[in-house]
Amino acid sequence: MAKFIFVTGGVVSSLGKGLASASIGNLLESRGARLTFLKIDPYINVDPGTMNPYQHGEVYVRRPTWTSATTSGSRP
Amino acid sequence: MTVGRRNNFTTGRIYHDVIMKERRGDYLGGTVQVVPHITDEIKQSIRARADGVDLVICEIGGTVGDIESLPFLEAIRQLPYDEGRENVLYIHVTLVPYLGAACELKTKPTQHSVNKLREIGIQPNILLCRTDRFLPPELKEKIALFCNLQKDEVITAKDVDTPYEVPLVFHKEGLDRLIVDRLRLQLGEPDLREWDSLVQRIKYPQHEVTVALVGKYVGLKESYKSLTEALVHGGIDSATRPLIHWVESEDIERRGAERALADVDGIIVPGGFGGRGIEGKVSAIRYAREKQVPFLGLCLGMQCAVIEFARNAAGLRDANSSEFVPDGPSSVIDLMSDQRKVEEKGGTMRLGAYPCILEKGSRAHEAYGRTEIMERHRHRYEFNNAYRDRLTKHGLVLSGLSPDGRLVEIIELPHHPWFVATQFHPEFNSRPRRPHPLFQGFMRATLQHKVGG
Repeated sequence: MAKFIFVTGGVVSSLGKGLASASIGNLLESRGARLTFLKIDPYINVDPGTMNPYQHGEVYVRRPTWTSATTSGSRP
Repeated sequence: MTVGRRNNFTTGRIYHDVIMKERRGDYLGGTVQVVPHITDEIKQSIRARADGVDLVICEIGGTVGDIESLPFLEAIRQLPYDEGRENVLYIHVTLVPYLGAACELKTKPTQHSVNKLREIGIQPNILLCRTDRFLPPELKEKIALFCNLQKDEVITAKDVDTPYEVPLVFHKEGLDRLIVDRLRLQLGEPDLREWDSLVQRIKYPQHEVTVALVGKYVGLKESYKSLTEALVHGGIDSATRPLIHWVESEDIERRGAERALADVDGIIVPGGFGGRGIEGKVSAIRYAREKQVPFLGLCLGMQCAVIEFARNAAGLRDANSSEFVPDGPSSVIDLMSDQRKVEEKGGTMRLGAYPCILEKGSRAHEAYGRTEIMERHRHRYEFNNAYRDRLTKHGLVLSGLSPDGRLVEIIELPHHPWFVATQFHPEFNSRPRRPHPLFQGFMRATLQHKVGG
């Protein structure tokens, strides 16, 4: 059964929670753990693709991304 | 690590799913509430990631104390009751600022923020204290006492020169051992030699090159994180550090490319949206093309390169994109035909990974070392096929096409040290241990440019 590590942040934003999570993952992976990441964004946007890069940083594009009904029929 | 859509969710996604269930009648007419319905949905979404892995590392965005994150914190507070106390670990990242006037590190913000978490019902197991210096033992003891922790559970997360160093610093502080102990994980000792030597090569390079990034940046540098890191990765094997020279495209419009870009070893025009600053980007690309400066164009950067080539090498003086000049005479970049009917902006772009076929013998083919690649896209406009003949006749090489041949994904110029531009975003596929071939090629060309010129 999988175990869970939750990373929260306090005092101010931009403390590097993501980097801390990635670094923990890196260390545990080099110890042989099979792991995955999950990022929860507490915003009402249904997917993060339309969020403002000024506040949230880069809009990262993953391999399979969110699709909505409007695109599913129009992919080349 | 490659992540997909299931590795991220938002409040909106959770509410959307709960509301859909309510409409379908899944709750049998019951009152639908934040607790338990929203929190149950959150827990279920978290558990859905746990298949086939030993460990899920879950980052809760935002700052403890925000109204927005409360349902998530409530959900993760409940998780030990379902999963067992020994299977859940809470790590809290806080700030321990140094006040110059008092010559002191201050622990009060950390105490308050841990109190806030405990009010919600979460006692953190480990504190990561962001600070610019190592925390002395007595300070760790003080934080531990006030936050209900052992001294070794207070970890210094000191500022470092490169983010790749963070795992090494954490390891020195004993963080991974602590996690293994607390979660009773059956794991061996880590082998960090390879990572250590990678960090050494990034920190102490043999060469430095100046790379101009031409765009609209004020306040946006963090938004190009993948790009600047891909450059770092690309320089590892040639021991070359990229010094990023942020150039406002409007500054090029004012001062001219010659002055704004003198002394750079390479030029990148990255993705972006909107027409402001386009002329500056086009001038920068002209400079790169004519002065034989290595050039890499990404997304909008490729579209600008097409516009530049059409105008200054293929004689289409009015060439532009229909995004900026809707009914111009020579729209070498045009809305994708699939996008014409689309009116909504949310979730309607050409998004995600698509295959691309490379032209044998092209620079792109040489760099990748294979003919079929997968790369990630995010765009609405594309190379207008009506201009293919005209532009290729004047020497532009279309070195990457979609498998059906309809979409131009990569352009390049053969008689140039390195002039490659892509409609996709290669920067998202670069990793420190697996640098992206186009960034590697670009970085080698910039070093060559510096040494040779």
